[in-house]
Amino acid sequence: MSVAVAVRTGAPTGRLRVTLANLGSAWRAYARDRASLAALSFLLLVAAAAVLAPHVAPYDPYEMVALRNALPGEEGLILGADGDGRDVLTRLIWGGRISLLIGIAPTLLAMIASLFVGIFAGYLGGWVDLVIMRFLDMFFAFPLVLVAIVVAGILEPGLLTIIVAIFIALLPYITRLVRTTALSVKAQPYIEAARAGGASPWAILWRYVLPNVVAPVIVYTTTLMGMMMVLGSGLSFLGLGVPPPVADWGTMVSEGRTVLKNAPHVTVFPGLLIVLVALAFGFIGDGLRDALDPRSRKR
Amino acid sequence: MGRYAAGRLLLIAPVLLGVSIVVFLLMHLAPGDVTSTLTGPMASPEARAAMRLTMGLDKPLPVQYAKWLGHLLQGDFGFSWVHKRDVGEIIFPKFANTAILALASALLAYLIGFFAGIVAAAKAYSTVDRVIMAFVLIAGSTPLYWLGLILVFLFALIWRIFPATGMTSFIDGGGPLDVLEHLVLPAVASALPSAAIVGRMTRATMIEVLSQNYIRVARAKGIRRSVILRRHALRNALPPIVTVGGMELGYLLGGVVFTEVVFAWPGIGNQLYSSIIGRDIPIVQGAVLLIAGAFVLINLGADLLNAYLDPRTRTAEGGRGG
Repeated sequence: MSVAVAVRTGAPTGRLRVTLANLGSAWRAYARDRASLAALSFLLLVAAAAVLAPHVAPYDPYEMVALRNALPGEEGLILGADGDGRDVLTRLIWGGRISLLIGIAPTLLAMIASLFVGIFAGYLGGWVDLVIMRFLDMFFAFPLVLVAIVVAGILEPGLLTIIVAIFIALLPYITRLVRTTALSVKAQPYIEAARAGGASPWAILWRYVLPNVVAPVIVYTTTLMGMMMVLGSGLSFLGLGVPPPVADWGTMVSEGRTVLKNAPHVTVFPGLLIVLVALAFGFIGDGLRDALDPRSRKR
Repeated sequence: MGRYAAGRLLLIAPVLLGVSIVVFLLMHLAPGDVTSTLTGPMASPEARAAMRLTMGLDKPLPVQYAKWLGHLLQGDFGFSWVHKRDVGEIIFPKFANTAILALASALLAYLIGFFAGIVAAAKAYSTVDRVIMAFVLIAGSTPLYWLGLILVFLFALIWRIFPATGMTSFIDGGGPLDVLEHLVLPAVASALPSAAIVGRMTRATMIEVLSQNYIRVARAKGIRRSVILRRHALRNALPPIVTVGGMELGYLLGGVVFTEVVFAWPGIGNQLYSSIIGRDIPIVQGAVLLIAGAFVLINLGADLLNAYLDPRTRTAEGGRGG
């Protein structure tokens, strides 16, 4: 599946740096790119709708409000009704809570854990590095999607299961990027200068290594969020996620399967939303990379 | 080249050993155990304990692992208590069906991705390029299972061109043509996201190669554009494309669970899924091992092909640093 390949090939190569001082100019650079700005606005809109679901959703997500399989526009429902007569739009808004969470939460958690493990391995080197990396190497022998499916499969179905499964599958990949970046940062003259100036090892890690490692990892992680949302929805599609009647977008696609012939809209809309949100994460990642790396800025 | 290949082959053994450890541990970390599934909810604790004893589940983990590995090395994948058959008997025929699907979609993905990438690179930054890249972007973000359902809706339910599910028809089915007819939709569905990756990689590599000095020299000598593309650029662009292609074939094996579940293709992914749901641990172990083993071998194949294409990659690390 393409998810995993992009995980391997999508890593940014330039050295980026995040500090409070350059946040303003980074934002101005980001805002100049119209595609990334549109993507960010779209994602914020979807997220706001999901968070405010009880207030903005027109109906109850679990209640029958129309004829079964009502087509879009029928009975006053913009996106129609599903096989149980529930409003598709309402369920999309509520489903966004879970779908966005399974894209963002495990990726973010994996990023934080990877920063610890990767910097530890890369900066300390030696046998610590060797043991950690050989252990992670074992995971690279499995397709990422397979790891996620099997881990999710052996645990009890649920939201936490999906988050844990994606976290485990993703950890080796982000850790590898962090480690490689930490290794190259370690070799920089400014680290040697800091050490010569008498900075303690912790000060070097905290003040010099971390800020220089964090930016490329943030860019990479943002792009991954969309893909992990696609994967997480896939796990829900397989029935390994939250149990019904609660539904995220993947579950909705799966539910639409039974009424595919008469009510294709039940399947089409949640899938379309998955594609759009995944694309948005991709554009935001691209925009961030350009914004955080002054050398790649166009003007 | 021979020495490099031998070295790479030797490295496979520890990798596969690691794979077997991960698979073994994963299954033993799972909550609940097979005895409660097998003996049913009404069984007494004594009956379950007796079952655990017969299955050797009371021994320490390293002992269980050593025994399991010993059998594995003799080609014995274990026994499925749910199916009452040897795991190997179940998973190998399923794996053959998966291989048909994976090879067909890999072929499609390479063809589509390769040509789309070359056309896009040859006409870089033109409208054609933009349209192709837009498709690539969308295809790369599309969930496999959803795309499969859309294809089923259009081509099976509405236009009735291809069958929606299965590998053969019940009535006078089973011939090569029948399988081919069933193969089209699942192969296309799983090929498109991979084609996007191959396409993007091909375009990026070709654009880089086309900006090299030797291409400019070739152009200055008056060599025709098509000849430059074919003979000078393509050959040098191949190694990274081969690497990605190998990875894609591997990842098709990962995504195969989705494709096979949507299209009810009787392959290893479908079997893995139903065994996960049914908690049939020996089959899950066997299927994961088989897929991971194939994945490792495919990556090895891609590395060897690269070493053949580009002698510079014949280093001890196989040209893809950690």
